[in-house]
Amino acid sequence: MDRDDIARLYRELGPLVHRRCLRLLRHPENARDATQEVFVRALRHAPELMWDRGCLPWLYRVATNLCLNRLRDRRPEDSEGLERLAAGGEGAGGAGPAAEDWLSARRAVLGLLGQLDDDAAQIAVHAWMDEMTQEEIAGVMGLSRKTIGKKLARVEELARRWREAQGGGEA
Amino acid sequence: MSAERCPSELELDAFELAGRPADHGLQAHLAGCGRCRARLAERDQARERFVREVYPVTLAALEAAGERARPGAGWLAWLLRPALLGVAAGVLLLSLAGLLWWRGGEDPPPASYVGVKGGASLQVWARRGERVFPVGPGARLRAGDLLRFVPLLPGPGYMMIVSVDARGKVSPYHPPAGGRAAAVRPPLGAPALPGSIELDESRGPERLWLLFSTREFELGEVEAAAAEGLRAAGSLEALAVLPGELEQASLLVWKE
Repeated sequence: MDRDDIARLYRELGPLVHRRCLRLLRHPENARDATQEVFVRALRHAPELMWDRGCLPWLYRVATNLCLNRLRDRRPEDSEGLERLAAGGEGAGGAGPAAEDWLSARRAVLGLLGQLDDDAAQIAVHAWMDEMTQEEIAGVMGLSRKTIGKKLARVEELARRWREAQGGGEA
Repeated sequence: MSAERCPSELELDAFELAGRPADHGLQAHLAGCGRCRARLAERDQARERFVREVYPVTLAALEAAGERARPGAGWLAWLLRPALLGVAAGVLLLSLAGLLWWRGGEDPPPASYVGVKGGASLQVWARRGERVFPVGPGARLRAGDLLRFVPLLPGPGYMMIVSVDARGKVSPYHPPAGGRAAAVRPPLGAPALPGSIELDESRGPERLWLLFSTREFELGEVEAAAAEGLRAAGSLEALAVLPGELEQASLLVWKE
């Protein structure tokens, strides 16, 4: 692959990956570095994954894992990353108690990311930030829908208890 | 996607990669959902930001990484890596876009090289031994090569993937049993279809066809269209479009 090929590819897919990294890291410089790292990894490792999975699921998985790991590394520049992610303003749209409750639940789930194992954290992001169905999450992660459902239920139960303890959200 | 549920980020990204086709299944939802139109507008801004602030300062490092990934670029890399990894990675990255095709020294063909009317497309991958590579127009394939398909579809409907040889024989690839076209749901981020097809010993040109419709259709309809199309076109090479109303894309390959 020559330089023109790489440049064309990067122009096409780079915005999707960069936007994803920025939403997760909420830090422009870190998102830029993460985007570059995702593509470097693709150059090194992608053939087998692509054969098995297809491009978009692969990019989702690599970008999400990379960003979550960086957030949990708690490097000085990322020290507030998880809090920024949990407090992010994107919502389900609309107004009223249902939308407020959804946002509150979302904040609770994403606020738990630092305490979850890798799979559970990624599932939480896909479900509550990406609004993906369990079938979509299963496709991206290569796990069964049943496994996704179980892990997600555990995460949401943790979040529900946390909300109760904080005195917010429905029991 | 139900009328009540907004599309996921994955669905919107697949929609982006397909070029936001006007007759995509998401359009009906987008027309009535201000939040999702705002999500698309935000994507436009994100793309502009990437082009302005990220692309210029990161491209050089990525190109350097690509150079290092090429076999023979460095003796240490050559010693430490499987010989084909760099080639496969380079070829792979082109098709990560799902829109590009490259063969060394040649100009790439138009990005939508196997596009279905409506903006969806089909990526075809081949595995030969340890090597994985995208299959483009005119690709030379061998008996024993494994093919895998990654369709990007415009919405729910029915899909069939077949090959047609020079004599007009139609072989169903997906669904493998032929019969009726497979019912498909809205795209889930362009995953590969499960399983792969192993090419047989026959030689000569073959066309791989992705056929899509919002109505059910059967293999017999495709066989009749292939026979009629071959009679009219005179050769498989000249037959780019099957007669009839099925949405379609085709890719001519050579088995040698």
